[in-house]
Amino acid sequence: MADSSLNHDTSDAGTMERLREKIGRTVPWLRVVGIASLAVAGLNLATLVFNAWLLPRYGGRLETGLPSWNFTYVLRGVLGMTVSILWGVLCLLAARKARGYAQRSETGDLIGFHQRINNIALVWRILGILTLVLLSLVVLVGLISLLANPPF
Amino acid sequence: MNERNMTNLPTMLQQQEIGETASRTAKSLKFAGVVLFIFSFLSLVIGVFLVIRIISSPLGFSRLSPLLHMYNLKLLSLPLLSLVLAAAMLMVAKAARPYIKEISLQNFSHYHTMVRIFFIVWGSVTAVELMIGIASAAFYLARAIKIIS
Repeated sequence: MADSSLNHDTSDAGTMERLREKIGRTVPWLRVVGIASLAVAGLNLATLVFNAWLLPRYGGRLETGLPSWNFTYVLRGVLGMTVSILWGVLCLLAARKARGYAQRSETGDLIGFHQRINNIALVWRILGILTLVLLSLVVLVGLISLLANPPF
Repeated sequence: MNERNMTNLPTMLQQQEIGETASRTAKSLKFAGVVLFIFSFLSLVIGVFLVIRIISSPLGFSRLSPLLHMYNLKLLSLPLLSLVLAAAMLMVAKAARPYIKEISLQNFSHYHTMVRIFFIVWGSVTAVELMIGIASAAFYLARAIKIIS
């Protein structure tokens, strides 16, 4: 009985050791997501400033043919930028916790790492809700315009 | 094993706490994964329709401007990348289910493998999106110089 319990403990310790290594190997990818998200946010900001502010001064238009300054375009740009910044910061924070766990193997860091991942998932959830709301609005506006001007 | 490097085993209460966090994470990722999947699929269908319209224009494919080629690439690649990401999200949500049902280190380890795969997919997708964004910005800049001059 004592031997089997000892074996169980050893196997648990082995599993946790492998888990620690696994979390350690996740750190570079978390940093990739974090840094790339912040870079995407910077690029979004540059494109937004360029398209919505600089381009109209020279009479330019978007690739879709729409005028570069329109409300939905700017709203989409600002929303995308905010979400990218949030993901970037949260992923870098999660990477810090994960590195802490891989180095010191303290359970507090493991719990903190999971909370950061939960926060990232929460941002995804909010984005999902916003997407659903926007999709519903698009469908609603389409239906109203169809009813107002029936094609047949 | 070296004392300093020895991995601490979480207590049952701590495992329970992580399990609850994983459960909330899984719910959020499942919802976001489904929405992203629907949105990407719709975007892909609209993208294919627009690309066909652009290609079959009287101008012809070979005489399209580089900006329009870039636009076509964005229309097709971004929804495809989002579809892959949505699949990874749903995979994490699925992997969390056995761990939430039965709190065990083996299930926890499996859940972590999926979390790791999710971040690998997300990292790759974001890196590709960034490259497309940089290429697109270069075209914008070229057009701006043309407009200004």
